[in-house]
Amino acid sequence: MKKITLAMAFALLLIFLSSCLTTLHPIFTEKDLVYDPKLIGIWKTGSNGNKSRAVITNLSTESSIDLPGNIASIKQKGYLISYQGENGTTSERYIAFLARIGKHLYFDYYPADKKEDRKIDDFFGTHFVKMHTSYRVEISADGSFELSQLDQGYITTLINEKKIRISHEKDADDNITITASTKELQQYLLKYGDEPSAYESDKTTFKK
Amino acid sequence: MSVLILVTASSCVTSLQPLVTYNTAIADNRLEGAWEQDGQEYIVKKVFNSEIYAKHKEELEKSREKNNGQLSEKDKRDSVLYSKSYIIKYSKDDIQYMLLGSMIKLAGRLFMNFTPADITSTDTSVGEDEINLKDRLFTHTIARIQFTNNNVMKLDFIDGGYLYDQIKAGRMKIKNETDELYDTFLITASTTELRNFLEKYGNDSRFFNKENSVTLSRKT
Repeated sequence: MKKITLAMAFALLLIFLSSCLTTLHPIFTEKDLVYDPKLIGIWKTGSNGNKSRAVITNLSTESSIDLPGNIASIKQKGYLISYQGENGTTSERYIAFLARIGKHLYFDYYPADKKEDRKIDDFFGTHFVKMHTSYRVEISADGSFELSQLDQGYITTLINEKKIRISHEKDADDNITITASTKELQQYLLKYGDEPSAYESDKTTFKK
Repeated sequence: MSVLILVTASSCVTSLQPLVTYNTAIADNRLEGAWEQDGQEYIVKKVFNSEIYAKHKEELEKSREKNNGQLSEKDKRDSVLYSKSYIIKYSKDDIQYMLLGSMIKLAGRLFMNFTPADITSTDTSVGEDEINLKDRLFTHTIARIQFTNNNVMKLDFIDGGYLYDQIKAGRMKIKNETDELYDTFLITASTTELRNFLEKYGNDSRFFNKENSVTLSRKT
């Protein structure tokens, strides 16, 4: 038997202790979207010493992806980002939208499923709600770019110290789920977008 | 079962908070055993008799050792909840699934809270990363449980479509989050709110239509 993942209440902590900020709602509305065709291509990526590659395509060209909700209506402005390991197999795949919020560009990532992917049982799968993750995007003059992921710990500390009012839910073990609306999330980004501690220290570089 | 569960799943309500907690869970010996519908088997065991508990017992002991031999408050609560909860195990298309099921009695009716416990590929040719559950929030589903007798159990899952329509039309109030762009609908009501809601609507047949019902027969 091969292990896929372990979830049980015994191990839930592993999931909740992830340092990446995940949100129930996206950080963008359609009017915030920016489409940069120069991001399309195959990129060498690196983070924390790990080397892999990412393939970025226009979402509208990807007929093999299950598009949730009304995403089809804005797919021309979207990307599919597929991360591949050294052996070339795709490990993670995201529907991504680039948005300008204040003076910064951000990527909103949402897990993507390919139609031919191995499906888990619908009843079991319904217990997992896909979450958004967000990254500040800094594009260099040579076309390479860096992603800085928003940090869960920073916002958690602000909430616990009552320094911020942002919609969230706490479970019995005080784990926080950010349920803030898109508008609230944008207010957060406008206020803390320049704060280095609001991001994880490891940046992911994308080079052609 | 497979056909019904697909329909059930497609319109199941998911809740961020559990309906059942350590201080409200009740055990019911009728749940244990092997059940089936349309050839699909489901094995129900008490958590402490399950293989997943055996697998994690060592980790729990280590956690206890780190805490000077004492259970942390969380571990204490979990321990009480598990002592009255069940693991529901089933396999489909070379994948074995386990859910944690905890039962509660509200206004004389039984309800079960389901949450994922484990997923394992039984196909040795499949790579470990093929099923990726990263960036997902673990949530709960809720079913009303009715025993026709000791050998027949009916599970009525709350109809998500009906609930969504009622909330949207302003006819019902329960805390939730919806996002139409990504088709997200999640109940974010507290455990207490969930209980109050089910005490009020737990016998309302509009919530539990045929498409969201599963009838299991005892095998052993």
